[in-house]
Amino acid sequence: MKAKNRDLYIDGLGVNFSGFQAVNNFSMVVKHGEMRVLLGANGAGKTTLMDMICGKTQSTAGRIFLGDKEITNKPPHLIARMGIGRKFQIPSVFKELSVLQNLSVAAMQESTVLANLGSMKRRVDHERMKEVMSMTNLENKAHELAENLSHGETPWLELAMLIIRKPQVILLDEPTAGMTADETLKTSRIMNNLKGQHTIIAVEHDMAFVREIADKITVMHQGEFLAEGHISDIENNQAVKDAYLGSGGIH
Amino acid sequence: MMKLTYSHLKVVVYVVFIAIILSLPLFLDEFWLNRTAKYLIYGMLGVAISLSWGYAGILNLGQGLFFGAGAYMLGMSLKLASPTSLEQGGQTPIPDFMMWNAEPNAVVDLCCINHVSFLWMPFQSQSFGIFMAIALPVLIAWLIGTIIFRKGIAGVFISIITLAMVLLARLLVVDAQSFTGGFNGLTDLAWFKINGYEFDPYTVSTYYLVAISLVIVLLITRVLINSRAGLILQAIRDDQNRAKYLGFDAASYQTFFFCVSAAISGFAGMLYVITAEFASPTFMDLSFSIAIVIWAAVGGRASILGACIGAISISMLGASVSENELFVESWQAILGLFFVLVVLYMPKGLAGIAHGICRKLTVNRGEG
Repeated sequence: MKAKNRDLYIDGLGVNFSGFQAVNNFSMVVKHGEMRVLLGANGAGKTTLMDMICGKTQSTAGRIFLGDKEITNKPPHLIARMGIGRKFQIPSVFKELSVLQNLSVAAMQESTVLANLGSMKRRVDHERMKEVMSMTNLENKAHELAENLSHGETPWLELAMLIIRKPQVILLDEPTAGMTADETLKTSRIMNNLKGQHTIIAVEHDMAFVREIADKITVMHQGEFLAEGHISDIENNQAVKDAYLGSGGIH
Repeated sequence: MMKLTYSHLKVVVYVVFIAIILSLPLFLDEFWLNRTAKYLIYGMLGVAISLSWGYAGILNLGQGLFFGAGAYMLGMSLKLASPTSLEQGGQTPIPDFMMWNAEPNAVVDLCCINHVSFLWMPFQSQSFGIFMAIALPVLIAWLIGTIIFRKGIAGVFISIITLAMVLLARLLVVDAQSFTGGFNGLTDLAWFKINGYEFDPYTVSTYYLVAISLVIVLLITRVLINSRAGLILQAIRDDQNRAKYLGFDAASYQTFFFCVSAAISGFAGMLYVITAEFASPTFMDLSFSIAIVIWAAVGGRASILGACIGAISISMLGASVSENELFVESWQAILGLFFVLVVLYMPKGLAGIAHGICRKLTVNRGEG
């Protein structure tokens, strides 16, 4: 496949935590604009895989490419600058700052201290802020402190902080964890809005939500690649059935 | 009529504060001006701790290290310029305590009266003393900062490390008697001079030197925290990891502002030597560094001006109150109790309450 078509290319990736092989010889290619869902039981290595992509965990084997740039084991802030946005399982936002300030920080074009000694004014793209806030249902919360947002709004703010940066690849770890049915529905709307504009990789357990958003699914099992395909392929895949037999399958 | 907004009110409060400190010479005699100048210098320390604690989330329990470093650096220059040092009979000025500690047959010259005295030589220039009063604290802060922030050390561990550093520095200063004057510190200093003008500590000009310095420090700090870097710094304080995964090198921001805080403290130490005419290892006492933190906590660590006013008013109150026999011993206990109450019931300090009132008075919330 040509490099310009693929946004993320993982080749034989592995990590060994002092004897425990959390991820082993994992390979995956994600095309530009694709919405990929990672499935697997607890401990299958999904979060660890994301940690390696964004630089939180150092891999011990294999390589990761963003487009044609290698990002394997670079420091997290450099990987982020190169175009990977990560949303964590436990939503993390800047609690003592307002929604607008959270987004301003995320939208900052320069990364070094000295380049940012200038004033805030005139550097803020208000149109883009408004657009992203309305996309994530936060349009009425601009001046609210992040700590006062509801349980469902906090992950949206984190998502908005990623979107405003326009990263090449967005990694989402359980975007609907702990959400009400209504909030989950709104989240799937946000995701479908993003489809095509961003390459997204999501870890998700809610199968209804997965059916709603996924283009293609990759299944992991005990740290290894198990299967890949569209949702119907995966549901009928014998290896997946075998692996999840006893836990009632993935339905 | 134009509506009063929160940010307007903030400007008003700053203007009133600056007007008050600049007009004090109209009401106070020279003795009180000298005392007030010292409180304003403490106010500067309040600004420094608010920047590092309130905005960067770095609770520095060793701010006295930077203050002391600044004080000693200029103190060395002023010591060499004092009449006693000039009249020791050598080619170069020599601090009196070096004479007292000298070997019987030592050469009476700054280069070699003892093993380390040559380090004093560049301090014959007062400009070098001024330069070092800022440069040394910044260098120390940069070294500490680079190590602890790169290693991702956070929270209480930073406090423990800075606390250990200030105690270590105090020990070294007291121990190196023949180099630092030891327990007595540097006394009998010359007046600070700019272009031949001498700053007598008990004059209006020295007061204005301090007061205008404080105003400049306040304004520069405000500009810094209102900059984009200042906002990123607060983001890092709230969630270091989130900031990192948004592409910011958290350690470089923390180190930068830690150094700025150290520079302000060193500058304050330098002004203190000019005003108080001594430098002492007590600047590096643990109780002093803790006192700075208490001032800022009571005033409001999340507010530059709040911490500054907190430092000025509590140190002023403390000094007047401990002149009363009843409070000589008990003042520290009262202050401690007050601190506990503030931490428990007003985590944002007096400035937090003031902010609350201001927000109620004005409509345009969140725009500040």
